[in-house]
Amino acid sequence: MRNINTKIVFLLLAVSCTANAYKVVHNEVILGELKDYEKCQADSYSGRPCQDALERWVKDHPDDVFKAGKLTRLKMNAAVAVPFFAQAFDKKKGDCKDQDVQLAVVAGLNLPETDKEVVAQSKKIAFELCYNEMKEAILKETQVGSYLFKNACKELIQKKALNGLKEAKCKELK
Amino acid sequence: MTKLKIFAAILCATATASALNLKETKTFNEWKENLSKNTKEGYYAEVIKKCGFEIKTELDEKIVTPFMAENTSGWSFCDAPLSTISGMCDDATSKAMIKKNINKLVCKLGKKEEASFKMAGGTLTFTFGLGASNLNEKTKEFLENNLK
Repeated sequence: MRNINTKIVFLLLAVSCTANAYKVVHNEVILGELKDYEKCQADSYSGRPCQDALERWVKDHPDDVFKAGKLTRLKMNAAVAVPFFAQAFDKKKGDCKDQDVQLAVVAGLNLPETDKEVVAQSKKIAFELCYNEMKEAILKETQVGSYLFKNACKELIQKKALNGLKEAKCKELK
Repeated sequence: MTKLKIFAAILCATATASALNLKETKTFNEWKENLSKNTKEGYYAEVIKKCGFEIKTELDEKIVTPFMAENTSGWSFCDAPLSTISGMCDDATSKAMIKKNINKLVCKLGKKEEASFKMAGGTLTFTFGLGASNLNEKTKEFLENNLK
């Protein structure tokens, strides 16, 4: 009986090792390949350890930064992907038409001021690099009182995309 | 012959003007009252209180039959813009622009999922169907984009 139990435990471990190709060493997730990130996310409650692992992966594999952004957009809060996409644009590997980039940037613009770095990265992508492609998506989410409105209304006025009540409310902001 | 034609035309016009049965007519009157008097249900009075002026409402008779058939209060759809407007009047800038742009609300029957707005000559026209949703958000979005 004891022998059968031991066999079952080993069998389960074997199955588990095949399913999860990432490793956990000293409480840190280590990805064996980029697609391990998705497996890690499937096993993780918060997703944060997998995200940290993905950031380490991108440091070692900078060419994967755009893919990392897309995977992050899919598995985490969309704004978490912004730093990856910002890096990708710095490397001339961004894509303004990509839906994940647009979703991430709109989410990034909609963060409170305390997330200064991500807001700044989102603004750079939205207004300096991809305005024509993103204008529609941004305007759709520009409701008075939203963080996006506070963060982006001045730039939208400069681009002559806001008028009337929205312009008046923006000018009231400090 | 000419008299007969005129009579037929009058009959036809009368039929078009009011095709509601008694029950529908009573309901229609109640709905109009909710939108134009100080009742507990509607936002008419709230607009006066918060915005400082009256917005008169005109409800399309065509709304009654399809909405009643689905046990849905058509007037409450028409009341949604009044609710949004009264909320927006908490803000002085919005209040001033609303006062400058809107003095009448016209509610019309539209396609099933429709919830669309037009604004011209002081009249905000709201066209909606039975499946229309997020009416307050849509009103706010329209007004924020179109009030000048």
